[in-house]
Amino acid sequence: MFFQTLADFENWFDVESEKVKLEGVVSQTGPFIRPTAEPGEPPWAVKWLIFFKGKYLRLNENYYPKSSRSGGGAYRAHFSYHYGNIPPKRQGSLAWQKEEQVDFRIDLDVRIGPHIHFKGENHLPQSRVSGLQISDQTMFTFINSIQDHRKSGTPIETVFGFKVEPVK
Amino acid sequence: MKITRLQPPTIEEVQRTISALEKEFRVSSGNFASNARAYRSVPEDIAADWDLALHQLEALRPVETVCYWQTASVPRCERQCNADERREAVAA
Repeated sequence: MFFQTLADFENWFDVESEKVKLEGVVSQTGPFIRPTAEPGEPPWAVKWLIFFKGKYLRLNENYYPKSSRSGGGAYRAHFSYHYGNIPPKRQGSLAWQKEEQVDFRIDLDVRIGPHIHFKGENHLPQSRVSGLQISDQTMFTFINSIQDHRKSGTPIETVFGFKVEPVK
Repeated sequence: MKITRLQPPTIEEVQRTISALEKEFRVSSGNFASNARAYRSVPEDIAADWDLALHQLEALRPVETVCYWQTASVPRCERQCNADERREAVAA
């Protein structure tokens, strides 16, 4: 994902977030954006916590600058979309907490690459995940799919349409 | 859903964040940035925040310092880099 300016990103975020229909939400912290000193210049980061009863979503994205030789602007270098039980002391806090449990989490990591955490298995790389292009996910597709899962009880792998492949 | 823009950090705040991370995880930022094993020793969400802080530090660094990288042959105080040149220098 790429945005030429912070204003472009904020406009996109406003439009996409309007399409999200949050249900059963107890509270929210954010969404917040942390720009750097120069308005409109990357890097910037987005953080958003959405709390349900006993469970929560934690959504993080980091955007880094592209060189002006490649046209400038900012690209999404990192994201983590996490859904699971609320750990102790997490309620409302943006500060890092050790996560004891995760129902589903997808990451684009600057060093490790795209991967998921699912059913007790961590860092499952894209090569073991079929049916879901990890790096194409957005926080809004993640929120909507989790909401579908919560409402219908449909298994997470079904609403996201993926399958974990065995180790070759 | 309106996104809330937080106050940008100062360079001192970013430096304090990085120092606190180095102390807590006993990993230098140089090692964190260049050594895969050191990077993986840090919890994923912390690693993302640390990586962001290093990018913020580059963005907030005084212009002349970065300008010197970009235009090493030009005397340091001759001119300041514009935003594009600074990004180029940071990316180099």
